[in-house]
Formats: sequence, structure tokens, C-alpha cells
Amino acid sequence: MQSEAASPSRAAGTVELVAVAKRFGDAVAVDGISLKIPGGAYCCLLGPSGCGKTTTLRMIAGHERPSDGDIRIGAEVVTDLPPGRRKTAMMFQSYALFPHLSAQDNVAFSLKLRGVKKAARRATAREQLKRVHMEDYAERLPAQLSGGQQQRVALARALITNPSVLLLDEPLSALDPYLRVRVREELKRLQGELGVTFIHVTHSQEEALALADLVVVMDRGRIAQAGQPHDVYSRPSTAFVARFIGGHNVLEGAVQRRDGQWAVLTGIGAARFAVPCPAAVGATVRFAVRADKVVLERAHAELAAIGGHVVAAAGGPNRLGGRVQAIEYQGAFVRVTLDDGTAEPFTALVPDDVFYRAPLTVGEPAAASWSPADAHVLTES
Amino acid sequence: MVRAWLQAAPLALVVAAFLVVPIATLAVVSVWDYTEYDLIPDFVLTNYADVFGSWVTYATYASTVRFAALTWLVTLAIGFWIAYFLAFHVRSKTWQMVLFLVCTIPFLTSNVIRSISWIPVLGRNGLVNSALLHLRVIDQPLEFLLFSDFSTVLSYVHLYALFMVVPIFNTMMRIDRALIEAAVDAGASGWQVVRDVVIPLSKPGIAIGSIFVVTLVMGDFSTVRLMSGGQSASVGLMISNQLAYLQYPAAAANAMVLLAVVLAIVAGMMRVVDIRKEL
Repeated sequence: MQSEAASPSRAAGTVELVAVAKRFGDAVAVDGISLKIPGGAYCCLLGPSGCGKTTTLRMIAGHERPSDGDIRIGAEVVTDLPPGRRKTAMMFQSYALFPHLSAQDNVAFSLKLRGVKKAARRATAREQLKRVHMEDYAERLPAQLSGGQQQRVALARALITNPSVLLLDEPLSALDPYLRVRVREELKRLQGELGVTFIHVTHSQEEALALADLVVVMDRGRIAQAGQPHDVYSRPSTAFVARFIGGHNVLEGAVQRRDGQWAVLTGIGAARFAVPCPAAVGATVRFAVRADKVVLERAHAELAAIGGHVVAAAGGPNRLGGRVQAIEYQGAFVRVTLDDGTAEPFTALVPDDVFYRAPLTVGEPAAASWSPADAHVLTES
Repeated sequence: MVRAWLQAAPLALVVAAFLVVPIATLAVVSVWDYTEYDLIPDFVLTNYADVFGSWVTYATYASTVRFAALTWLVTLAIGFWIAYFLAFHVRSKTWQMVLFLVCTIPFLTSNVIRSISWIPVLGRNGLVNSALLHLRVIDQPLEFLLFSDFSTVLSYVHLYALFMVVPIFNTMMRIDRALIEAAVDAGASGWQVVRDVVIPLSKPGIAIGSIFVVTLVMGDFSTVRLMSGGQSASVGLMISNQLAYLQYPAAAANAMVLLAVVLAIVAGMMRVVDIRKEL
């Protein structure tokens, strides 16, 4: 990642939220969040619907006034500035192209507002359209463009003002999956070229992990975790993050005894797990295990006797038994779900070649195991 | 096949009975001859020659078109801003509905009563004049208030402003609010949003409202008689007078010409704005 101090234009794109809150009547949409997004970063606000991510974006854009707190962009506090004076540009979820204007006039709209003459603003608009490979469609009305093309026009319209910060509200959600991946790459490439801060709201963890330099996971109006995608994925801070980001199993148990740096837990039934954790005996510990770090094996003998419930499988800690509930082929991986007797099924992602060497079938008892070092302890959210 | 015809039949019959047949009758009668006492079935163009040969016709059309244009301008200005206020500034759906209904309340009384009710307000000793006299703003009653072009246009506006408000409000309610935000995001001021987004996207509603208002004023004969005190003419009034003298063929010829003129105006408006997507 480029250093922020290297270029003054990057510093102009630094976005800082200080204890920003938004209430709609009694409902709290954003509950006092603080966040610093370095200039030139690609930041994804990630969370389920209603978590406050879109409201946060709209407050940065100026379309919503914070009930509390301040927003700074570059060196300026913009909390009271209108959207047009914040050096931000927003790309709307529905693209919000003006249906009565051609693609080039849509792109040239902000120049028209500033009184730029028609010929000059159209020339600039065409340059912008060229950047997103839409110059051949300059004369078309939005209704005559496909979803992907409309999105490019919307992007060109947002970029024509040379914003320091580009705000994208679920920009990929209206596209089909194939296009989504291509446009995603293009967004990332464009962001690298422009050096502009991108703040991208999404509910897709895959999108966030693929694009972001900084992933901000939000939950009920608060930031649950903010960090680099790799950190968030490999070390989710809370059970919520682990579940939302996907690919994790969340388990819990009470500390039964300590063994050096390890705490040995007993979970539901007689399951025993070792986790790297300083918790004292008697404390309840929650931890996450990545589904792709789990090894699955057939387990007739152990499970037949107890009817498929959780057992402390022979051979030490960090094994879990259950019955195969579902098998999903996903290409490189096979996703196997085990019913381990808890409300939340246990998931393992098995490389397809490994799985098909000795394929399991639904209803069969199986045992999952993982290295104690792969257990990641969660804090309470 | 038969089913399709049957399904279309009721509407076709209604249209035939109440639109095609009367207009056909009018067309037929417009070429009849007549005397003071008698209608003579015939095919003569004298009625049309009378219409086009008289300067009264042109003067009357000029006066009618002027009323239509003035009324159109005023109702458009008022209707647009009422619709804009209702659609964009009244946030709650309930209040939108309540205020919209308030706009329709004048329509619970008849046109004639609504026109007549202006007389005690605007008359020589009416509310406005006596109030101004008492306040010593004027020392003579204002004469132009009643039985004038002013009172005629005022009455038209009162009668027809809602026909402008409703279609414009409808179109505005269909404008995606994200478009307004997109304009604001691009740096548009409130006025620029109206000029560059709201007005262009409200055009179909403006066109429909304009058609209502213009056709209603062009065809009116009662309001103009009542409110101008008989001092102004209108095409409708001219036709009504001919009917009173039992000059049915002359009235029919006049009506055919009026119909053609109004249709031409409507066609002109539809050329400027495509209203099909609103229908």
C-alpha cells in the first residue's frame, strides 16, 4: 500500500469520523462510530442490512446530517457542508442517471451546473466516458443502456468532478454474478490509477475481501471490526464478525483446566477443545475455526454408539463428531455440514480431491478435527 | 376472435353513442341551410363561409385564445408550485393526502356557484373594495375587480387550477428521489434541481394539465358571460347565442371549427411533450 504522506492529493482524501451518530426518531441507525480512512485507500463498509453502513455513507456524502459527532475530509470539517462542497461524489445504488439526458449530458451535468458551455462540457464528458469505455454510447439515453453500461456512465458522472473521495452504495448488487466480478476488478484498477479514496458499501463479504484495503464490519450501528481483509478474515474479533464474514465455525466451552498457554475447554456434550487463551478455569470461551482448516474423516465406530451426538473423540482434543447433514460441491472445495447437536451446524470445506478420495454421504457419522493453533479466540461483542 | 369483439363492444358502443354520433350529427347539420323558422336539410357551405367571412369570428377567437393563454400561464405557475410543494416538501404521506384533499374541496360545489361566489368578494361594494377603502389604500372602489378580464381569468384559475395540480403531482411522485440527491451531489442548488431535474421530468404532467385547462377554457361560455358581465366574448358564448336564436346550422359550423382548432392546439402540445408513458 502506498504511503499516505507521499502525496498531498492522497491526504486530501483522508476521511475521519469522530463519534458520529445518527438517530431517526427513536431508532438509532449509527451509534457513535469513530473511524479513520487513509487517503487513497479502498474501504469497504460491510454488514447486514440495517447495520448502519448506508447511513454512514450518506452522512459522509452529506445527504444525511449526523445527529452527533463530526466528519472530516482532508483537513476540513465537513459536517455542515452541503454534498456539492465536500469533494465527495456518490454513485447511487440504482445509478440514479437522469432519464431525460443522454449519457454524455448525464456525465456533464455537474459542469452544466457550473455554467460550462455546452461544447466544452460535452468534450470533457466524452473524455470521462472514454475512461470507462463508453464513448460509443455518448448519445444514448439511460433507458437504452444495459445495467453494466448504466453503471459505467454513473461512474464517469461521479468522477468528472475530480472528487477526493468516491462513495459507492452497493455498486455491484444490480449486476449479474459474471459482470460483478469483472466490474469489481475494474473498480479496483480505476481506484489504483486515480489514487482517490473509495468508500464502498456492500453486504457481500466476498466483495469486501476482494476489493478493500480496509474492511469495516458493522453491526447494529457500531463498528464490529476494522482492519485489513486478511486480518479480519483470519482473526475475526467477535462471533458476529466470524459468522458474517463466513467460512468460520463459532464454538464455545468452559475452561476446564490450563495447560501452559493452552486452555482446555469442555463444550456441549463431552467435546473437549484446546485453545490458545489466557482465560482462567471456569470462564466461558468462544472461539472460531476456519472451515477450510478442518479435516474430516469417517467415524463409524465412535459415533454409532451414541447416535451421532457430540463426543470427545478418542485421540485428544479438538475433534468434533456429528452426522453429515448436507454436502455441497463448490468446485475447488466440497462444503460439508455436520449436525453436531448444537443449533449451529458445523461446516468443513474439504478440497475436492481429498473429499472424492473417500467421499462421505449424507447421514453418515463423521469426525472433524483441527490443529489447536487454528482455533482463534473471540471477544464478546 | 368473437370474444375479442365482444370484449371491446361495450366501450365501442359508449364511444359511438356519446362521441361519434353527436359529432357526426354536428357535421351533418353544419352544412344544412336555415331560415328564421326552419332547418332545411341540404349541402351548403354558407355556414362556414359566414364563420370565416366575419371579423367577429376572428375577434372572438383572439379573445378566447387570450383567456386560454392567460389562464394557462397562471394555472401552470400555481399548479406547478402546489404540486412541487406537495410532492417534495410534504414528507409524511398522511399530510400529503390531507393537503391534496384540501385542494379538491372547492370541487364539491358547482362551477356556477363558485363563479357567482366571487361577486360579493370583488363587487363595487364587495369585501376587497370595502376593506381597501376602510384601510384608506384607495378612495374610489376599484372597477376592474369585477365584470372584467381580471375577474374572468381569476374565475377560470379558481375553477381549473386543480386540473393542473393533479397531473403534475402524479408525475412528480414518480420521480425517483435518488435523482434529486444525485443532482444535489453534483452540486446543484435548490433552483437548479427544479430547473434541470424536476421540470424536465414533470413535462408529461404539465402537458396533460395544459390540455385540460386549455380545452376547458376554449369551450367555456358560462364563466365568461357571468364574470365579464357580458363585456367579453368567447367562442362558446358565440355558439350559445346562435343556439338561442335557433340558428342550429350556424352554431354547428362554428362548433366544428372550434373542435378543429382545439384539436390542433392539443396536437401541437403532444408534439412538444410525449405524454404516452403517463397514460
